[in-house]
Amino acid sequence: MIKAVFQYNFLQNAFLSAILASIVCGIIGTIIMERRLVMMSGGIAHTSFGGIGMGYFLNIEPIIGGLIFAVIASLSIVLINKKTRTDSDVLIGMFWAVGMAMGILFIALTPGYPPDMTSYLFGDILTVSMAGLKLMVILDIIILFVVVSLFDYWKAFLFDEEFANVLGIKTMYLEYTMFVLIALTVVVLIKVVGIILVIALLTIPPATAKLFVYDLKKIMIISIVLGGLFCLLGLVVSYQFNIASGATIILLSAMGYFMAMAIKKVINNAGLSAKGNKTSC
Amino acid sequence: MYDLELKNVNVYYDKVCALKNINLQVKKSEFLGIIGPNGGGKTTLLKLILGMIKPSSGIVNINENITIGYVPQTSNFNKHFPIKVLDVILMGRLDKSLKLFHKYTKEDVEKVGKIMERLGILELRDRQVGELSGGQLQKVLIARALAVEPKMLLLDEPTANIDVQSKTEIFEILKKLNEQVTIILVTHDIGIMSSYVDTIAFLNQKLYYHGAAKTDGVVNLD
Ligand SMILES: Nc1ncnc2c1ncn2[C@@H]1O[C@H](COP(=O)(O)OP(=O)(O)OP(=O)(O)O)[C@@H](O)[C@H]1O
Ligand SMILES: [Mg+2]
Repeated sequence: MIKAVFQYNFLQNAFLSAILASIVCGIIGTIIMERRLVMMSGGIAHTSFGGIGMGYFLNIEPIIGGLIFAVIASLSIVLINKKTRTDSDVLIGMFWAVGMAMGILFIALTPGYPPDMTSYLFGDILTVSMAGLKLMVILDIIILFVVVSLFDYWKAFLFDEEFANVLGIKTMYLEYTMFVLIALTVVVLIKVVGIILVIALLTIPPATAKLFVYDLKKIMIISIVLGGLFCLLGLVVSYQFNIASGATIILLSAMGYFMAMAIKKVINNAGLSAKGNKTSC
Repeated sequence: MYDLELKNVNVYYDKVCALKNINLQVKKSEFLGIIGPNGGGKTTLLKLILGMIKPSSGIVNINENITIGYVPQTSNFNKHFPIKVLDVILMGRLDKSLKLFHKYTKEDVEKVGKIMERLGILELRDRQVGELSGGQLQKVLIARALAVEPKMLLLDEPTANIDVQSKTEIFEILKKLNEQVTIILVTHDIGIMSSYVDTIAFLNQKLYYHGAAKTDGVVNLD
């Protein structure tokens, strides 16, 4: 397979997109986990399906349509939630379903033979195009820059928004930016694991990392490493056995999480027995 | 010269009236203790001063450019957030204008270290917030408010979870601070408070009393 990577462009693209995906997953996934925005992210991902359908209908790059829909959906959910006090849960559900419905409608209206949507729904890392890869690089750079360059502010905002506000920091802008970043992340991940599986890749690496470290920055970094491991391993397995990449990556991640839990248990037990008689004091 | 002036202020939450026709003036370097029953509007008053809620009617005048430190009553942050005590307190050193690639300076860390020492929480530096007791967390939040180097300090029941000795320590620190800082403190610890504050306000939707901290007058109202 290593030889194949050098021979085939599509494998190089796949490897690069696995790495690009794990970088944003680690960073934004950690934010999503700490802010409890998992369902929100799922909603944004599914709404973007409407944009992908629109892309086919208007004959533009589908993923650009997905990007537009994802950004609009995330900002609308927050705004409507603020203005009308409708539960964000309810709004997410509405956008989720309406997005999917619009996608199906657009596809039905698209003239000619209907396109195969499974690679968007379940991901197909082996079909990432050069244009797709370029878009991922751009989105990765944006996300990385915004989070790293304002890291102290993000930390303050994520931990205690009210106090950040009292300090005079415009937390509203940070909040909107956060939702745009989540939308961008979702788009980066669509080709890798697919709309339906996005939330798993956003949550499993940070949840695994949080078993072992308790520092925001460290959780992000370890999540990136873990995500990279899961994605690359998933890519190898899916290539060798010719099974869908998205599903492989998610199942491997889940296995990784449960293994990590077992490892943590072993470490804890070893720690306890090593301290032994000290525990009584 | 007043640091803070409220004129005919009313605050409603939808139809619930939390504050009614409040007129209050707080002098520079005043140490004001606010007491009153649960639901009397004490937290609402502090949030009003902080600009977190707007008055339904009336005027709130605050000395311009005054830096305000705030110790919230119940911290509505996620206690399981992965952040250590030092980082929480350093938050107080953040400037309101965002700077790219901001780093806390050595001076920031030193200042925060001194504050922690004063509050006796230096050894908690590297602990996770989730691992603190209620009283320890309270002190961390006070330290964070002091890290702002405020000219006006608002504290909402800062001694609620705190043992008697620490309570006295905190009031001593506030007293010392009060030489330069205007302090508004909400508390139910009337006994210990009355020997430290300059003035007392009794709040129960309306402001019933604001004046010298003579305990006898106030206890009757309570
Ligand atoms: N967010 C809110 N929405 C609606 N009503 C509110 C809200 N916050 C406070 N209230 C109401 O406003 C009144 C004043 O509340 P406030 O929290 O200011 O009281 P408090 O004096 O701080 O009480 P405590 O001693 O219990 O802290 C109460 O009747 C309360 O029910
Ligand atoms: Mg209160």
